[in-house]
Amino acid sequence: MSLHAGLEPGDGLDFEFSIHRVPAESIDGLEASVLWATEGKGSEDIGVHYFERLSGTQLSQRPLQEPRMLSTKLPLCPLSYEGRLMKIRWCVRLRLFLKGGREISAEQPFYLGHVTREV
Amino acid sequence: MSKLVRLFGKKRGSRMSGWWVIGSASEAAFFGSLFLLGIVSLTVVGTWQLFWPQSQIIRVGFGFWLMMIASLSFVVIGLSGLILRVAQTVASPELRSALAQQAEREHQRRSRGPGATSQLPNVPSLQPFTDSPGERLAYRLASQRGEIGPLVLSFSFAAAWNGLLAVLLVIAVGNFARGTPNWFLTLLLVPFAAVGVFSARWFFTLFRRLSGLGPTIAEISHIPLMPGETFSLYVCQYGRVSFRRLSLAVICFEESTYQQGTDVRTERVQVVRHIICERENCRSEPDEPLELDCQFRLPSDTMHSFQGQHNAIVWKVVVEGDSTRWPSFCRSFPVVVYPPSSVARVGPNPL
Repeated sequence: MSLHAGLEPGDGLDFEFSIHRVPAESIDGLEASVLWATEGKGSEDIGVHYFERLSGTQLSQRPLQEPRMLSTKLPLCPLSYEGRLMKIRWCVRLRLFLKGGREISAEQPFYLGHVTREV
Repeated sequence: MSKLVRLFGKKRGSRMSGWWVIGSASEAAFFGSLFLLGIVSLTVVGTWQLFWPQSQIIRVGFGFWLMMIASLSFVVIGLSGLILRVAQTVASPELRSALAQQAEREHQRRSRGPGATSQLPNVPSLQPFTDSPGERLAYRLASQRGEIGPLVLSFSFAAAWNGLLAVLLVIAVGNFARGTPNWFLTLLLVPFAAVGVFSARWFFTLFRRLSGLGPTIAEISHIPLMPGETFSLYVCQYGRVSFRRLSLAVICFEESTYQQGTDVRTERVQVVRHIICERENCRSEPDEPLELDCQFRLPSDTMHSFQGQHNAIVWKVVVEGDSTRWPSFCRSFPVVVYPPSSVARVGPNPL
């Protein structure tokens, strides 16, 4: 996966991904999401801004190693935040579902806004 | 050679080793069995009563209703657990969250009309903050009173305890009048009376503080507050009171709710504190309340208000004072801070 690390609210987010070392016939589907999640002392909160599910058939129409591009416009909030009790982290998450119930997930974090890097 | 299915997993950092499907399937099977057990026992108890009402085996009474309640609870717990486990197994957390947000947006659109979905999700609604117009400035802020609760609690405890004490006292006096004094009861009255005096004193201290300090009114020029923008604040303190120090501040708190064992706990930490203005040796009289008129600019890198299911970032205007006659007091007025780039905004109140 690749994208810019620091982004501003309302900016367009373009990210590309490719799948390597996984045979196409073993893939059941793929979920790509742009989301924020809280980290810290409290229970986790999660908010999905962008979500797309590709089935195994859709994925196998093109070679898996070929980069695929997804785009979305980022929301105005919540901004990335690093506090004492909680952090708000943005990331692009890919979840690859394999036949037989196994999953592989990959994350690419990014920073939305410029409120805090560390309190 | 195919891999053997591992029944037990091991936590490795943020992930679990092993085959998670086995765990989820086992949990689903457990809740499914509980649901079936509830249905079967409910059916047996119900049909027995319907077809053999004269039977002595399951008679309507304490045991019957206990069986009904237990069966119903098995059905509810089993069904909800089964649905939750199946949803967790079938759908990823992202898919579940996306579906829930879509349903919430749809609900908002239906309840408020087309185009009414919030542009700023997870930021508190402005409606509770803007429905009260101010006299000096646009909006009067609602006070978050933490004083009424202890007052009601102290009154309830003092009334109940002293009522009990009065009953025991009447019994003890009656025993003395009949010439059969109960010395154990008489001795017991001494610590009971001490607790009664302390509880009454607790109530009157709180009552005197609340009534003596008088209300605090806070008004603000605009809501929501925007980072990098200046806002005006007006605070009026009523009552006859002298302050050694009175300060007005904007404070940001982080709040996190988490489960610890069977308890749900909330932790609150102050992370940012901006002193707006501070006065020393000032006085408020019933006919001349103490007034503070201030202006303040929020720094441009201020974090906005945030409201998640378990976590929150809360901003408050806080009035704190050290009085010469009363204990120090603190009154807070919640406000909302929007992210700097948001354009959705409520203008000044036309009133």
